[in-house]
Amino acid sequence: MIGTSLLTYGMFNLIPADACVLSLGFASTPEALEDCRNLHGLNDPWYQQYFNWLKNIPQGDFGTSITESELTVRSELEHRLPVTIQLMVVTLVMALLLGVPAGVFSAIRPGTPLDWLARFTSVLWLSIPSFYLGIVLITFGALWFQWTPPQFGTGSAVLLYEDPWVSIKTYFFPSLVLSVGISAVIMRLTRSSMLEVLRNDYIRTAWSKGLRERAVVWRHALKNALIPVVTLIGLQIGALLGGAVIIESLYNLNGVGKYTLEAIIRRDIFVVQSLTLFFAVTHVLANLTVDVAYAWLDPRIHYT
Amino acid sequence: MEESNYWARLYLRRMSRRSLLTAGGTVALGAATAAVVGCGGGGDEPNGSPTPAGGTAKPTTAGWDPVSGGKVTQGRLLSVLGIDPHVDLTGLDIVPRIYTYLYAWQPFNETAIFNNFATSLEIPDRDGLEFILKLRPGIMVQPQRDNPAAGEELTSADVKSSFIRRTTSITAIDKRFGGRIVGKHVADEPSLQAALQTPDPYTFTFKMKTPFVPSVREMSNPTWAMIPQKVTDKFGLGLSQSAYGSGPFMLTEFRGYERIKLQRHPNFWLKPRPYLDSITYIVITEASSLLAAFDSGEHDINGAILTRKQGEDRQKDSRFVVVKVPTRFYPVIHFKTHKTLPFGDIKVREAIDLGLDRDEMIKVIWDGEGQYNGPVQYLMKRFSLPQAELREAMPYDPERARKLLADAGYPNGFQVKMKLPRVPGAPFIADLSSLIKDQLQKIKIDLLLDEVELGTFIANTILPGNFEMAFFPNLPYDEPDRPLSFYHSRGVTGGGNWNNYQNAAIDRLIDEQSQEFNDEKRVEIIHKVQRLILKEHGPQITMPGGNFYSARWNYVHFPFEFSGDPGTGILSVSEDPLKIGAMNLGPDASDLWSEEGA
Repeated sequence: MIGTSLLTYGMFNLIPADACVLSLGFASTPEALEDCRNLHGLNDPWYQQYFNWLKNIPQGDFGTSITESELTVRSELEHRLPVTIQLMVVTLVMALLLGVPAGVFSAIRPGTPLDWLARFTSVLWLSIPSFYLGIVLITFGALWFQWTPPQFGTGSAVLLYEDPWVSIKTYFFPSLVLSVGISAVIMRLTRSSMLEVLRNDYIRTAWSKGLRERAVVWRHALKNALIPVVTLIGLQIGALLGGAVIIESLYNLNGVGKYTLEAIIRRDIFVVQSLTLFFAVTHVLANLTVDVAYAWLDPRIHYT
Repeated sequence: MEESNYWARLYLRRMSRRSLLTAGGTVALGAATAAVVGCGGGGDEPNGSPTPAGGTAKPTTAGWDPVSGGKVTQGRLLSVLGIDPHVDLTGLDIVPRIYTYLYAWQPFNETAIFNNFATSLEIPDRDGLEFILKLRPGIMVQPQRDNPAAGEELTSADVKSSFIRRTTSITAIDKRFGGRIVGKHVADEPSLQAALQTPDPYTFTFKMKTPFVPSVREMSNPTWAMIPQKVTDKFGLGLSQSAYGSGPFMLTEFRGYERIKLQRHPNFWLKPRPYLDSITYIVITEASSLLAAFDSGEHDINGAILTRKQGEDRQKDSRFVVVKVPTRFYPVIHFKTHKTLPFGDIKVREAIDLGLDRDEMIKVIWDGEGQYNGPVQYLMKRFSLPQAELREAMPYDPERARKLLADAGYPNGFQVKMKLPRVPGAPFIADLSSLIKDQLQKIKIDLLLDEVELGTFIANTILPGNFEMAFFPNLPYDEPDRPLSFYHSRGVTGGGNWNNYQNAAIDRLIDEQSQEFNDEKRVEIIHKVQRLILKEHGPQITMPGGNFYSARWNYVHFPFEFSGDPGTGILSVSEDPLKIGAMNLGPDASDLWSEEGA
């Protein structure tokens, strides 16, 4: 995580211009720039700037935005994080709901029209860029049904516990757009994993015991087939955060992804640093959760 | 002998609010209209009597029966980083709704309108040095709980403190006005404290050390907001995310990347205004999503600039009012004119000028609707050169361009990098650059387009003069002094010319016009300096400007539409100014109303 933040910091400093230049615009006289940079500590040596930022992190102080001078990164995260978390959770749930059953049905009926349909659909979903699908859904929704998600009119995303129905309307399409690509990968991995598991001796035993197909497939086969899928989900967290940058902008969800994009454009270095650290932590935690989940899915795995 | 410009009307007598209202409507509302609909609107009729272009658009004053109540939601493509009128530049279309201004400026007939804090402006001496502003009693500060001046009256002390804060703000683009008040290059606080006088709570005066013709126009621009002194004493520069003014609307929520909410000021001085209960801006930084939000009815006013096709598609729908207005942004190519560079040679600059097909630019970039721009844009009709003269001065002649290049020692042309900014929501910049590249290819100049983000472009390219060739749409101006100062050896910021360009004759004429109060003489000088500049083919080459389209739902009403006449190129309004004057309009957006409120 330290490495990530150091790398981000170094690369960010290589980009021309800084937040002072952007906020001052045409008034960027040498004197004004000097004042602004002194005010935000941008004239300090790079290592001092970095450690000044880093040393306050344990206290939960992620610094203050340079361009929005009265807003702390922490307060913004508190405001935006729930939006991104809900988007990611709903997306993952949708991806699993779309991908796992399709993969299972495709595996238990190989070579049938259902299998072909599932495989064709997965290739289709993988081929369509999420931003394109997002634009198409928004445009046709507006032109044909005079409907756009509620946050287009209010500017803010309603969370599930605030108003479930409005929240569903808010998150359904952005989550769908983000999830179809992931669901396609999940479907294909579930299918191949299931095909492999279904050939195992213990599945044959289950069949010979006279168990119903439902029990064999969903209770015995799927649990083992899901191990690579869970690994994949852990890896997809990073992709999801990347996708959120685009989808949040497109669907006007003021979450962490959109915040990152805005901060990069404004060269708001402390915001970018803090968000990069947040992404790194999220990634590590997601992979940790996946590792823990292995033990639940496969009793042979123990962490001592 | 009476002089023919606003100075003549101001000299030696007072301009009263009433007479000015009758004479010309309101600029504040014009500015509001411009801001709300993206620089105003109104269709262009060849006969010079513009009408709104929308399907159901009708003369807005005909059914002018405003009702109180209702709310309006407006989309917005760009985030607002801050709302401090003296410091932040990204919210300048919103702050006039929150703060009080001295007066407003009507660009289409160059008139000051006293429908705000000042009731008159007197300039008693012929040199235009002394300014006496009489102020309106009873303008109350908004009653927010944490507002230290809540419910108090705005006075001349607030004007003085606002003048000082605005003039010494580090982000003030043009500091020349303040500098000329105190007779220095850049004004400092002690000098301003001494120069600005408040003889009584309703009188504000100052005497300039050096005359400056654009002064009256300068004081009405959106950065000259009147902030109560108690507010600035308490918050200092901390007014970026909050606002405590005395204008028609109060800021109740500010999340500049998300939503900005304004609510009716209950003690606004011009009752029953404002008519609306609230105005909400919704920021959607993705252009297609912003347009979808408008089409679906989530937004009452579309915040993005539409293409001609998008505008015309919506014109066919009777639910919308579509307006178009000539853009005052004007694209230019900057040359670095240092002698060691190709563009130090006038033959090379002329070759490029001749290699640009401006008619093709109008056809391709501006959808067939555009006008030539000289050093002063065509919309400043009185000051700009006639179209016929500009067209004659800017012919397309690639044959001669190639010959000039050969004469300059470049028979096979040359390769050069042209830097340009990436500006969200303004795709015409990249499109026009590509077209310029194609056109100059025909005279064997190989342009390498180097697109960088706007901030980087400003700081690393334009301001330090770090370019050989750069492309940029200059900001919209309605006073000729500003665009002309690009050609002055001290440049537009007063700190130096970005293009390394120096021409003593041009400097002299530009200085002369900024101090010439006789309007006819000033126009003459401005024409003369432009003709001189055109012969220099730089350091900026100007290109045509076109129209911007914008749209709103037909239940949202403005008292009139801004317009631009394609024949004359002058900004005008869709209604008879006398009729508008009789409507006794108020300051910015206070007259905006919606049938939804009824």
